[in-house]
Amino acid sequence: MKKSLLYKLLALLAALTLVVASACGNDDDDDGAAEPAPAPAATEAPMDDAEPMDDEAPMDDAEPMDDEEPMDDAEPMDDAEPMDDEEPMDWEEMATSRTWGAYSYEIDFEPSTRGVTDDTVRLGAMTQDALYGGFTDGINARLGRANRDGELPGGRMVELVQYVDDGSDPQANFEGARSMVENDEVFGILVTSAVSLPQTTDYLAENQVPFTGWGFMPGFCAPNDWGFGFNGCLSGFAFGVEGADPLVSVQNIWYDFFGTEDIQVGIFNSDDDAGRAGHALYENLWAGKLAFNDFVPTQTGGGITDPTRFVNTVLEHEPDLVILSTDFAGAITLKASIAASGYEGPVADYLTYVPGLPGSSPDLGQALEGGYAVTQVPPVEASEPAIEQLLEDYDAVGAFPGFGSLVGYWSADLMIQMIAAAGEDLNTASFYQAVNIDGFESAQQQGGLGPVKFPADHVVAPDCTGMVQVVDAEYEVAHEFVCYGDPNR
Amino acid sequence: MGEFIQLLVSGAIAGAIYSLIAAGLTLSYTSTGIFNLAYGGIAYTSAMLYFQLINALGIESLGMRLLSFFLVVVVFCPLLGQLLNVAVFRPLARANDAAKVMATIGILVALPALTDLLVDLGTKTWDWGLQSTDYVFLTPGVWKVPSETWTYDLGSFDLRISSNQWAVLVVAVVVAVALWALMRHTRIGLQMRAVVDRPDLAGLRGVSESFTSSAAWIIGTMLAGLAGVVGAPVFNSLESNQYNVFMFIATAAAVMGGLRSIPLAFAGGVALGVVTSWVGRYATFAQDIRGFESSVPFVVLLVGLLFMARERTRRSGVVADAPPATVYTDDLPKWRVQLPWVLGAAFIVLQVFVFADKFWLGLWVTGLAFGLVFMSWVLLTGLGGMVSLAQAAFVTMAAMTAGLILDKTGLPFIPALIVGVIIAGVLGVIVALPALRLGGLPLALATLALAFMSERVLFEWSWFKNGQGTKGWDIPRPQLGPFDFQDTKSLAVLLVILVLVAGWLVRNLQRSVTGRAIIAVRNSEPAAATSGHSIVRTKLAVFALSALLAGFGGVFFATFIGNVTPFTATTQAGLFWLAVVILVGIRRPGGAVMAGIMVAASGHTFGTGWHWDWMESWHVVLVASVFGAAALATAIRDRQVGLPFSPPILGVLAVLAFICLARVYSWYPIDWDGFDQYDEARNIPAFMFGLGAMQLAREPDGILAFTAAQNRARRDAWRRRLAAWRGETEAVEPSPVAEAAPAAVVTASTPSDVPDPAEEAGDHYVGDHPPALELVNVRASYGLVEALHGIDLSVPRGEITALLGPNGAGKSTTCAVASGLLPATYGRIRLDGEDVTSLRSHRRARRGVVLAPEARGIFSGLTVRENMQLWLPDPEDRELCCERFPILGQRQNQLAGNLSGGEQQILTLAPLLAHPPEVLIADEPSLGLAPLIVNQILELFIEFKERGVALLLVEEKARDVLEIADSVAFISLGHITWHGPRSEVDHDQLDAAYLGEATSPTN
Repeated sequence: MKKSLLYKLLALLAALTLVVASACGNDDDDDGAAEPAPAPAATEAPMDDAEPMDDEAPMDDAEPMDDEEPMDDAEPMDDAEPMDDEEPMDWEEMATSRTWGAYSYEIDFEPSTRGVTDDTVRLGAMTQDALYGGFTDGINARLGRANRDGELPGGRMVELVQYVDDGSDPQANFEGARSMVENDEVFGILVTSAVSLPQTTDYLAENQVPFTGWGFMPGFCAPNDWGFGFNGCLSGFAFGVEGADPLVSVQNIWYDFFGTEDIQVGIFNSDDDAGRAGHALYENLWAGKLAFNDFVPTQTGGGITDPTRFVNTVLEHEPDLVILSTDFAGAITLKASIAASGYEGPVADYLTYVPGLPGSSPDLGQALEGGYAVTQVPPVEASEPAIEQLLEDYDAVGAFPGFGSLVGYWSADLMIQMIAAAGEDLNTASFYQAVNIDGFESAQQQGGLGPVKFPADHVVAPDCTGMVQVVDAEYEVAHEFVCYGDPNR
Repeated sequence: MGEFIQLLVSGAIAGAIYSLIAAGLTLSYTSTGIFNLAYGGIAYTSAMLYFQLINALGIESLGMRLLSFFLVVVVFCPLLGQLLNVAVFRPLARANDAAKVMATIGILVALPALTDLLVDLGTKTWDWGLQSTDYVFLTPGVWKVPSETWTYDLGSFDLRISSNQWAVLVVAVVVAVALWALMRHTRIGLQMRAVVDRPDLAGLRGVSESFTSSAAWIIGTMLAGLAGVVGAPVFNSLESNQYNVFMFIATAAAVMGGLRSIPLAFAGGVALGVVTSWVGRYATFAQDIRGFESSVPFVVLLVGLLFMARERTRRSGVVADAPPATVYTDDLPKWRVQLPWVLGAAFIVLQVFVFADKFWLGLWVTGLAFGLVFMSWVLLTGLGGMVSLAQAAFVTMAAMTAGLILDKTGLPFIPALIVGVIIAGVLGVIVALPALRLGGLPLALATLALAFMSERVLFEWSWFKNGQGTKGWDIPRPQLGPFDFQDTKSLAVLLVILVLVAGWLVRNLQRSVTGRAIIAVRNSEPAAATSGHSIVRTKLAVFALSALLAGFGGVFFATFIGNVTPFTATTQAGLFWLAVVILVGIRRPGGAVMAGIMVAASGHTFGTGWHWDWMESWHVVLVASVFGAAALATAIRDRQVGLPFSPPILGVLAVLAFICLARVYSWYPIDWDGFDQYDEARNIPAFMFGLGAMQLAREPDGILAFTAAQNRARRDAWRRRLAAWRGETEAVEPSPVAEAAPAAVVTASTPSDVPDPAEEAGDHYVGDHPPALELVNVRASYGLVEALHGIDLSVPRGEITALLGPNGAGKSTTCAVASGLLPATYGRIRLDGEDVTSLRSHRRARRGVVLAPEARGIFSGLTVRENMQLWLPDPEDRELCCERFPILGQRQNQLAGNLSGGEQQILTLAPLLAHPPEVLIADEPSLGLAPLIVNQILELFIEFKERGVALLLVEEKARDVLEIADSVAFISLGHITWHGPRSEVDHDQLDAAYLGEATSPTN
C-alpha cells in the first residue's frame, strides 16, 4: 500500500514536473547579473485605461500641422543624427504631453529602465520566419554598425538577446512578446508579422515597449503610440485611423512609369482583410480607370487551385497594367499563369521583391521573369550611398540581404536612431519624450528609406516606394525609390 | 460557353487532386472503419519529401524527378502506410468513434510537425544539404521544370493546360483505372470488398482482415502521397496547413460518395473542383461576401452529410460506442482516490499565490481559461458521446460578441460576458442541429464544416469583427467591486475559483438526473425515448451547455490577452486542443484542466523560448535525475510485474531527457553569445501530442485512464506477491483490469497460455484417426457472461453430427468458437488432432473449417459471381458449379442480396462442393426456408458427407436433421447433456432437448 502510493506520487510528479521545473526555474532567473533592472512598475501604477491617449483632444484634424515650420523638402536627407546631443533629461521637468492630429501623447506612466544598463540596451526580435527569413541577419548587420561606430550615447552597446519565430500563430506571437518583455526584459522589440495582432501590440504599448517594423499592421498606427513603422503607418486609412490618408504611391508610381495618367488598370485583391481594404482603396483611387477590381482566394482559404478564370479576366479586358494585391502564393501563381497566357502588359505585385528569389528555382525564374514588383524597402540593386552603406554592413557580418533581412535591417535602423535620440539618460519616458513629444525625424542617406517623423507617422506615412523588374532572373531597378507622402506632415 | 468549358476542364483537374485523397479516404474508411484525417499530413509530407529529393538528386533532370516520384510514392508511402497501420490503426479497429477520429487528428498534427522539425533542423541547424522552404510558392512538378503551358485552339475558345495539370490528369486517370481494376478484377480487391460487406464472414472465408487493412492503408497512403506530389505544383504550396484544407475539402468529396463508394468519391472530388471554379466565376454576388468562395466545399460537406443521414439508420447513440469507464480505483480508500487531484489543485494554488512570476502567472491564466474551454468537451464528448470540432468557434463567438457589446454599448464586463456566452450557446444550438440526425464521425465532420463556415464568413463580417483589418475588439480586464483584475494575479485567483466551481458542476452533472438522461440518450436513443427523455431537448441542451462553457472560458482568455480577433481561436488550433484533451482523458474535468495547462505551457516552453539559461545551473541535474529516476522506477517496476511499458510517459520523459542532456552537452542549437535559436523547437509539442495518437490506440480513454489502469495492475501484482510471501493461498479479489481487459493491460489470457485441460487430466485422445474437429472442455464468454461452461464435442470425418438444443442454449456460440470468431477462454480446439485454439477465423478457414452462419453465408453487396469467386478463384470450378446449380449461372451478375432465401443458402453451400472443406459447420441452415428447399439443402449435406467432409449441423428443429445425422449431441445452458449415435436417440430426449432440460437420457 505504502509502496503503491509512492509510485502514484512518482507518476504524478512525472506528469507535473515539466510545469514545476520551468516555473521554479524562472524564479531565480537572474543570470543577467549586471542589470539593476528595476521591476517594471507599469502594471502596479495607477492607470485609468489601457491606452494613455483619449480621443478627446480638442484639435482640428483637417489642419494638423499648419503651424509647424515648413521643412525644406529639397533636403530631407541628412546623414547626421538629428538629435543626439540632448542633455541627460530630467523627464519630469520637460513638456510631457503633445497633441498631433486627433491623438495626444502624454507621459502618464512611471519610467522604466527595463533592458537598459550603463553599457547595454537589450532588444528582442520576432517574425514569421517562413515569410521573413533572415530577419535577424539584417538586424545584426545594422546593430553591428551601431556598436562599431558607437552610435548610442554614453557608449552603450546594443544587444539582440532574443529571437522568436511565431510560426504564424497569434498566440505564439503574444506569448513571445510577453516572454521577451517579462523574462528577457528587453527595452524594445523589432517585430514584423501578420499575426502581431492588437493583443500583442496593445500589450507592448501597455508595458511601454517600443517596437519597430514594417508598418502594415494596426499596431503601427495610432492610437498605439509605442509602435513605429519604419515607413510609418501604412494602412491607417483602411483601419479608420483619424486623419489618415490613402497612400498615393501605389498610383503615382504608375503614372510616372507610363508617363501618362490615361491608363486602364486591372487589379486582383486577396479575399482577406488587406485585400478587402485594398479593394475599397482602389475603387476610389483608380475611379474611372479600373478595367476590373476582383478578389482571389487566399492561400489559407485553399489558394488559387484553378487560375483559368483570372487569366480569362485579364485577356478579356486587356488592361494596360495588372496589379496583384494578394498574398505571396497568389501573386506568384497569378504571375506565372498570366505570363503563360501571352498577356504582354506589366504585371506587378507588392511582395515578390525578394533578392535572390528568381534564381532560386527554375519555376520561380520563369514565373517572375519580366514581371514587376513594387517594394517598400529600397532595392539593394540601386547604386546609392545608402545601399552601399547597407551592403557594407551586411559584409561586416557575413550576411546577404534577402527580403526578410532587409525588413529587419530597416527596423533596426529606426530603433537605433530613436534610442540615440533619447539620449544618455535612457528610459521609457525619455524615449517617449524624445520621439513622440519632442518630435523625431529619422535621418537617411540618399537612396535609403524616406525619413519617418513621429508622432506624425503614427497616423500617416512617408509613402515611399520603388519598383524592380526581373530581367534574366535578376532584379533590376525599374523605378527609383521615391517618397510621395507630404514632406510637411 | 467557351469559358464554361474551360472552367469545367481546369476545375476538374484541380478537383482530381481532391479525388485522389477522397478515394483513399473512402477505401480505408470502408475497409477499416477509420476515417483518416491524417491524409492531409501525409500529402504534405510526401510533397516535402519529393521537393527535397529532387533538389538533392538534380531538379533539372527528368530521370531524377521520376526517380524521386517513384521513391516517394512507391517506396516511402507504402512504408509509412504500413507503419501507421501497425502502430495506430490496427489496434484502433475496435475503439470508439471519438478515439478513432482523434487518433487520426493526432497524426495530422504530428506528421507535418515532424516533417517541419526535420526540415528546419536540416536547413538551419545542421547542414544536411536540405533545401530551405522559405518562399517556395512554386513547387516543381514531375514532368517539366520549369512548367510549360500549352494552348489548344478549340474553335470558339482556347484551352490552356500546363504540364503540371497534365501530370495531375494522367495520374488521376491512371489511378482511377488502376483502382477500378484492383477492386473489380483482383483477388485482393474482392477480399477488401468482402471485408467491407461483412467483416466477420470474410474472416470465415479465409480473408485476413489485418491483411486487407494493411493493403487499404498502403493504398490510401500512396494515393495521399500522389495527391501531395502532383498536387503541390498545381496548388503552389508547401504549407502544411493548406494541405489540411485540401484534406477537409476531400472529406466533402468522400461524403458525396456516401463514405462507401470509391467511384462516387472520385467523381465528387472532380465535381467540387468544377463547382468551385464555376461559383468563383459566375456567382458574382459572392464577391461581396468575404470568404464565400472558400466556404463552398464546407457547404457541400454539410449538405452531403445531412443528405447521407437520411440513408443511415444509425444514430448518434450506439451502445458499443459508449462502454462505461472502468473504475480502477475501487480498491483504494476515497481519500486516496482524491489525493492526486487535491495535490494538483494545491500545486496550482501554490503556484498562483506564491511561486509564479508575472510571466508564469500569465501562462497559468491561459492554462486555466483553456481548462474551462476544454471542460466543454468533458460535457459534450466525455459525457454526451458526441464529438465536436467546433469548440474553438464558440470561444471566438463569445469573445467577439462580448468585445462588440463592451465597445458599442458601454455595458460593464459582466453583462457583456453573459451576452457573449449566451450567443455562443445559440451558435452551439445551431451547430447541434446536425446532431439530431448524425452521430459519431459524420457529426464530427458536420461540426467541422460549421466551424470553418463560421470562421470564414461570420467572423470575417466586418461589422462583427470591428471593421476591415485585424483591429478586433478590446476586452479590458474587468474591475469587479474591490477586485481589480488588471492585476494578473487577481485574474489567476479568479480563474482558479471558476475552474474549481466549473469542475465541481460538471462532475455533479455527470451524476445528476440530467446526466443520466444524457447517458441514456448516448447509449440508445430509442430506449431513452421510450423511457420519457426528449432526445432533441437533451442533445441540444448538451451542445448548448458545452458551447456556453467554451464561450465562458473564451471570454476570460480574451480578457487576459486584452483583445479578440477572428484569429484568437482558430478551428485548426481547436483540433490541436482536442487532440491534447483526448490524449489526457476526456471523461474527467481534471483531465481538461491538465490539458489546458499543458497546451498553455508547452506552447511557451518549446515555442517562444524556454529560458534555457537556468538549465545551465544545478537545475539540469535535478530535473534530469527526477525524470531519470521516475522513468527508471516505472520501467523496472512494470517489467517486474509483467506490464507493458507505458510508451507515452516514457516518450515524454525521453524527449525531456534529451533536451536536458542536449542542453548540458550543447547539442541543442544555441549560440551562447547571441540569442537562442529555438524556432525548430516550436514543432516539438505538436509532434509530441500528436504522437498521443499511438497512445489512444492502446487506451482510448487517454493517459489518465491508462495510468490508472497500470497503477491498478501494479497494485494487484504487488498484493499477489505480498500474499504469496505471506503464504496466503486465497486469491486476491479480482480486479476489473483482468475482467474488462482494456487494451492497455491485456497481458494474459491469450489462448495459448490457457492450460490444456485434457493434458492436465491425462486424457489425451486415443486412436488412429483423431476426429476432424474436436472441442475439449471449451469455455467461452461474452464480456463477463460465460455462455459455454466446458463443451466436449468431436466431429468425425465423413459423418454428420447434429447439435440440437433450445434457443439460448449456446449453439451459435459453439459455432463461433469452433470457427474462431469468438476466442475460447478455456479449453482446446483441435483440427485433425492439431491445436488451433489460438488461430483466428481466417487462419482456421484456410485450414479447412467453414462456417455457414445463421443469416446465410453470403456477401449481399457482392454479385453472385464474386461470392463464388471468393471460394473458387478458378473460373473452371465456377463453371462446374453453375452447371450443377443453373440458378447461380443465371444470376451471376446480380447482387447476392437480391436472391431468395433458398438461393442464398445454395450460394453459400454450392461453391464449397467444388472444393470441399475439412469441416463444415452450418448454423440453422434450414431456418426460414420452404420444405422443398430444405430437402435440397439436406441432399447437399449428404453429398458433402459422401465426399468425406466432417459436418456439424446446428439446429433448433430436430426433425429434418435427425434423418441424415450419424450422431447427435444435445446442448443446454452451455453444457453438452448427451452425445451419442442417432439410433440411441429417443423421443423423450428430443422433448427434453426442446424444453432445454438438462436430463441425461435413458439411464
